[in-house]
Amino acid sequence: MNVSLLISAAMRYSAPVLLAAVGALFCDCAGVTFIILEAQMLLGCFFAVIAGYYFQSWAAGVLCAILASILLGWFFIWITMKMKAIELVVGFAINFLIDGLTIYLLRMVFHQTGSFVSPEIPAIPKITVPVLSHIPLIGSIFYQQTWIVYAAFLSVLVAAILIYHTPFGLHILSSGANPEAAKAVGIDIGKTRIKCIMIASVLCGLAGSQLSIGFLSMFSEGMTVGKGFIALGALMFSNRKPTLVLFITLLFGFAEAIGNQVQLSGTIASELVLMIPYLAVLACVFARKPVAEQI
Amino acid sequence: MIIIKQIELRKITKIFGTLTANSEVDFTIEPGKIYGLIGENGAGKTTLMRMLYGMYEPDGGEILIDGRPVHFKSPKDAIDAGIGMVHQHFALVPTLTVTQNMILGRPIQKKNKLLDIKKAEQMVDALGKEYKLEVPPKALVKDIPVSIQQRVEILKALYLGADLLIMDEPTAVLTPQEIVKLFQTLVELRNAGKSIILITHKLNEIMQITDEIMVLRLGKVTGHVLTSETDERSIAEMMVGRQLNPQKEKKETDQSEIALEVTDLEYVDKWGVKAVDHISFTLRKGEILGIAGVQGNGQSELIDILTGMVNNYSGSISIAGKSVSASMGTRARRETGLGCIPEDRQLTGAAVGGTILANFIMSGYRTDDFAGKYLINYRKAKERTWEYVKRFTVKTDDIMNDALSLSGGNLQKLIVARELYLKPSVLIAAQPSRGVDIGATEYIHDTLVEHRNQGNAVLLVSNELSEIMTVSDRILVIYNGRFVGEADPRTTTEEEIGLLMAGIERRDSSS
Amino acid sequence: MNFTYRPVPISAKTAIMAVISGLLFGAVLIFATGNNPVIIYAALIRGACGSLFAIASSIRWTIPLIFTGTAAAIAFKGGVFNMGVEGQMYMGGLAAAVVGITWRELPGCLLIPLMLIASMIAGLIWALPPILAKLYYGSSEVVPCMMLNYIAMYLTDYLVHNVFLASGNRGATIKTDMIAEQSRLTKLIPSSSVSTALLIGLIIVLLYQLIIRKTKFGYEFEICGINPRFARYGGVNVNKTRIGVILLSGAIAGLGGATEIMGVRYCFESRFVGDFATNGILAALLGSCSPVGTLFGAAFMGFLKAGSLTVERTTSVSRAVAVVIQCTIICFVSAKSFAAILDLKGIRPGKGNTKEGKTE
Repeated sequence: MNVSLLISAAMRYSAPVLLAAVGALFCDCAGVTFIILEAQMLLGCFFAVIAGYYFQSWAAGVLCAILASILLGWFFIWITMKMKAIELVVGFAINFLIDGLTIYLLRMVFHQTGSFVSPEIPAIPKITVPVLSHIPLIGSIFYQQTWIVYAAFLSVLVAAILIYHTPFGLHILSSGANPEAAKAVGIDIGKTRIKCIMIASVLCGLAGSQLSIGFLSMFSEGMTVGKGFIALGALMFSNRKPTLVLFITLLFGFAEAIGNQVQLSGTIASELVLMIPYLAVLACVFARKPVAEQI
Repeated sequence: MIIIKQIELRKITKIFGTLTANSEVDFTIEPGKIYGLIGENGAGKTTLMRMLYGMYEPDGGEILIDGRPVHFKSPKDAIDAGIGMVHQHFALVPTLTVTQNMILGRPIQKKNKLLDIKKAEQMVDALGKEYKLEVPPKALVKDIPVSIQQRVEILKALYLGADLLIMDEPTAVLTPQEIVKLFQTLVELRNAGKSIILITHKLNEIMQITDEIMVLRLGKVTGHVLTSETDERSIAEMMVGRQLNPQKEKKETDQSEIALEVTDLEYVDKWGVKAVDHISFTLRKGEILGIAGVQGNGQSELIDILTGMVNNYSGSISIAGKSVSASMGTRARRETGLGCIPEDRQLTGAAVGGTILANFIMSGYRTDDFAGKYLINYRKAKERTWEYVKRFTVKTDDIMNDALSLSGGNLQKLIVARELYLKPSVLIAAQPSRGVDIGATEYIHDTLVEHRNQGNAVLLVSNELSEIMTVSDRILVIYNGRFVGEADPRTTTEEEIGLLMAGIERRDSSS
Repeated sequence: MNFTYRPVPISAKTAIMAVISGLLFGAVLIFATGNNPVIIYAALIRGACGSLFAIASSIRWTIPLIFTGTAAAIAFKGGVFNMGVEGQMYMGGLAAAVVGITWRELPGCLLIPLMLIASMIAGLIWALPPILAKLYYGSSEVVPCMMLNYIAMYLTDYLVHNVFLASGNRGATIKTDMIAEQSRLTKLIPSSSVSTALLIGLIIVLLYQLIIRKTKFGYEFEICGINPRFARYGGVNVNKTRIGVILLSGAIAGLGGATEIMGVRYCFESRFVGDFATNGILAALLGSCSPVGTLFGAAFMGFLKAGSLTVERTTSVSRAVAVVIQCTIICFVSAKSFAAILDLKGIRPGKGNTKEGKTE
């Protein structure tokens, strides 16, 4: 087993989940039940490929992915805050809505079924950090990754500072922990939550771009395969600690990378390998100390 | 800083649905005075103050500061105008520190825009010293006692530059001694030129400290007087607008049999605090035992232990002679003849969102009266529900309505009706009159006495000392999870019990 | 995050508004991709109820949704957000198929119940981990449910691929052998896919109705859904009730998998669940989790599905448009203020604010 390749792959697999999990962290701290990460990533995937293909530029792809994700975020905000819909229900519906919408658009606009592959889809350029990439073993962290992967890891640091060391962070935490207290000192909870959802939207747009044009340069129906929910899982186990979010998503990334390497060796059926990330999340649930539900 | 000269509320009206919370209320606030805003529960005191604090917008009338009309769209506008409010349920974030809570509304930052926690902590210390309201800046709010939390709230308002301080029922969570201290602080603040509005429903407090008193009843002003020119009696008349009924007479009962015996209860809560500390007592049939104490001294936990909502405790309980093991669930305990009117109506006492019927049959749906082995006889259940709804004067058109449609007092009566349906030999009544108007309170007290007269035992747990004094046969005082004294309501005084509630044990007869 | 869901009654006005906005959004989408919405919707209605065949097709697509819808509705009503219906259906389907293949020599009157029971057991086993996670590991049930959906999908693929692959199949399509003739459900409408599975489904709905209207268990789990703390205080064993609720839900979902295989496909095919589970959940949400409401919701979703298939066959528009319409409807159905848009006068004084008013 090639350890360098493994680390490199784990980084790549972790990045989208990490971005989504950091986005979810903001929303969770602000008291928003935000489960449309999956939908935003998928929409990001779709628009990154489409816009990249049309404009022949990966940058346009990433930009459109983020814009699409933000638009969806605004729809969520409008319908939950203005129309007073239930976040959980809307989140659930939006996840499937976007699944259907991307399938529909793929068929209607590109007359493709299943997936859209073309050599003309541009890929996000890979960056190799000069000196650092020569360090043995961990050098592979800095070898041939897109900037989004680096951004993902940076986002953890940014989140840690923003949430726990700035006035904005105080607004977020108070809006989530005691909205009445926030209101009483004149904090606009709505605006704070909207900002958090916007942050999550941008991160999910990036995550989608990474998934589709960061590595494979293709779009396939439902290609996020539950990564948004894996991100939610990571958040659930993290106690809102950014470092734990990072650690857990890396764990999932490694699980997936190891599975794929094993699969290449041909000893284990592919179906079983595909199960690994989900099993890893499930294992995390039951590995924790039992706590009875408080009612 | 803007120094407020005068705030005037002119013909303020607020309507919620069919309920007129405030109707053409006029109120003028001058600097350097303490105002009392008094009225029954539901009289519209809090609503009025929330409009002044920008939390609601009035439906009619206007607010003027120094003669100029202002429109508060949010508390932020009110804060900017120099108005601060200390809420009844403190507006603090329990998971943040005292300092973080203080600077929530106006952060202290370094040059690089990050929070300057060190400087903020120094500010909290300095401000605390200035107003003689010391607080621990680094402690998490959830770890400090309520009286200190209240100080944080006051300091927070002062930090935000409040010249007018609105205090909503500030004494509800304090011991008599802490109340004295709070009042000293308020007087000092007044002498420093700040104005204070004290919202309360306690007459003695308002007489003790205020300069002017405004009385609200059913949303209307029924009196506006100088404190020096009035007395408790006339204020009470303005509040209630009628004579109070005499309390139901307590009959002589046979108190020889023990209904509930509790020995050596001990319980450590999830934060590792010993919430109940070696509690033992006996409750006899035909007796109302009152448990007095300031909120948060272990009463809630004690009730949870008795009813089986909490199981990880040690000690022994026996109900009507039957021993109850710790692992026994809520249902098994109810079957031994235990009933409970819980302290939180909305959270525990009812399923708002379910029908009145569904709420009522919770106590009886397992009994032969209207259920078989697996099925519920809903026809019979409806008959019974109607019968009890009428008997307990719960005001509703239809028992298939949502329980949410009931007012606080009516919902409480429904809960009392439900708990009495099985005629429990031991009835726990926790804060039975909280947030309930005077009429319903009288009714509930009479019902408790009646239940006692029939030879049942009642355990009354309340923060309202007056309630405990009028209804109980015997009083136990709880402090810090322990019983610190026992008293006979006929021979003791409120002051004496107040001392016990503050943890100052009597030398002579401490149990 | 707050993963608790309490069913809220939905007014007819809100439901109608939501359906209209869903159809409107669909129309915009159809128009934007160069088609005439009127023609497409006409084709949709024709395909859903234009002929006996069309009606049979609508019913065929409604049947699995009755099962998944009721499964979801029961769980939601009991306060458990069971998003794992998909996985439970896969497991139920596989269990039924395996029994149907293995004991070929048994008579139908024995084999059919055996298959149904096997599917229910498989479904309820698959529903167990999420509720254990919720009750005893302080986790929400949503994420474990989603994980188990994916695991079930891959696990059944693996099992079929490696153990139960159809004879003479080299693995091009992952499916099992056909189940025994006598284990297939009787057709109600000849030469269609409508079988006695419909009757089983209706019985399930009826049972659900009876449970909540007549039984103690029904009362208990409804109260647990509204306010679990109140239920516990009142003497209900909330954990036991919730486990009961999700096991029931899982069993019904598993049964749905079995009837799909016994009534339509006659073998386990990879990914046969498709959107049955999600559509069922949507049906439950549309019908505010009541038995009759869910039945109507399922019928509406089945109607859209049948229509959309015709749309895809006869026009150039993809059937995925139906998914978009369904999901848009659900987004709006839970929106409390949405119907108020109709009231041109703005927010009427009356409801809405009363709750605030009572806090004094």
